[in-house]
Amino acid sequence: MAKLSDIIGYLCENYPYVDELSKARLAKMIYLGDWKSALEEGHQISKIRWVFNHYGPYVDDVINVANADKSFKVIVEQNAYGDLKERIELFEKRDWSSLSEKDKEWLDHVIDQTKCLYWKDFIKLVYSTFPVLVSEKLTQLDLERLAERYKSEMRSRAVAV
Amino acid sequence: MQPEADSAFIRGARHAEGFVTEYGPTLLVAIAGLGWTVFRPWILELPQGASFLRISGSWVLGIMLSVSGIVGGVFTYKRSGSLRELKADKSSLEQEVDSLKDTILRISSNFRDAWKNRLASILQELELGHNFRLSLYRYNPDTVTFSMLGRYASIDKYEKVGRGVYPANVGCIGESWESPDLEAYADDLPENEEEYVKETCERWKFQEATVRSLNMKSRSVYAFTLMEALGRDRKAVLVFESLDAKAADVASLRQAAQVTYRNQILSDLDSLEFIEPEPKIASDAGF
Repeated sequence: MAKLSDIIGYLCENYPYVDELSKARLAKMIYLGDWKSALEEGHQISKIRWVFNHYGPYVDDVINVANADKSFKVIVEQNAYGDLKERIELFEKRDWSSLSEKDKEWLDHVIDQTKCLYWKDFIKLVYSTFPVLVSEKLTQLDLERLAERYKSEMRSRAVAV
Repeated sequence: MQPEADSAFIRGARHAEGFVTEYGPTLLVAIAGLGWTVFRPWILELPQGASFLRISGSWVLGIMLSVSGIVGGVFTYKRSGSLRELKADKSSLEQEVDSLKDTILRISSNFRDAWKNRLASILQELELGHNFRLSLYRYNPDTVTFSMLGRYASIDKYEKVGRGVYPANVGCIGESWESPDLEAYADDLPENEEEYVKETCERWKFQEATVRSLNMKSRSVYAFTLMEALGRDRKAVLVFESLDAKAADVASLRQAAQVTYRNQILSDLDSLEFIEPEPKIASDAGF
């Protein structure tokens, strides 16, 4: 499994719209990467234990790692509603060596699929993923087990149709 | 007969007024353009020794065509101004809708809360008691499943999401969806667990393990399929469940689902659709 700081760094380096990378968006992008990897390879990219909190999959690990790592700058700014949001910016590039080629492929997939989405469409995509659909709020999301369930309950049906 | 004739006259006058307002300016500009094209030589090239009548005719026609063009042009310009204003209004209203959608998104932290509140108010208004649970399901044609949009039960443990996604060909939900009567119910399921498992598996094609894992083993289940407003397509399934046998009068639940709350639920389905999860969106994006 890859280091969380490498995952954050890879996304910050390759996501085309750096102004959009709030901690909430970045965390959910990592969730999508983990979910994609669980679906395709049976395991997450990160070691995060995802929790379905009030606003979808979220953990503080992302912002904590970004705060602790000198390669990142956490910028506090106001969003369109006047609320404060924390944005994560890459301060210095380095080799994200713990990421495998497959990990990068899944993260690239996340970037490709979400870079054109406004926040509400992005959130709708996250809420439409199987783990959010079938899980209880404030519970842990076991993505690897849920990926197995998804394949048996949803993908097989989609193929059959 | 006189009032009818009058109203026909008024209707005709209104149509004519509408036609003039809509097409009048364009018509005037077209008349001026065509007139000048066709009659230009006749108006401008007067023969030597032309009569007074011929000269006056040229002047009158020239002036009429010019006035027609100017008046038509002025009104067309004014109308395009009001169209610009309408477009600006439309754009500002669209922005307002987007902003309100964002607000709803922020207030209802996710769609399930929004539906929970809606279903709670229905259950409370019906005064069905605390052994009841109310859930709403949407059909996903791509995966032939139902997704639970929301659920309310006053007892917390019965409010859990459960499986979240349900195969469309099993259970009371599936039976209601396929029923020509738009409903399916059982109101005397056995209290004994073994008998309960046996009967629900036989009746609704459940897997035994699925029934055993149900957190609420409802003895009464009433499912009603809601058609969309025009009555053409099936839209969602509303399910009342209770731990008690013969928990409610079917006719009054049918009245609630298909009459009293139907339009509200359909309207809420439409207005909350933008935050409603759609498994197809995720699967199309490779998630």
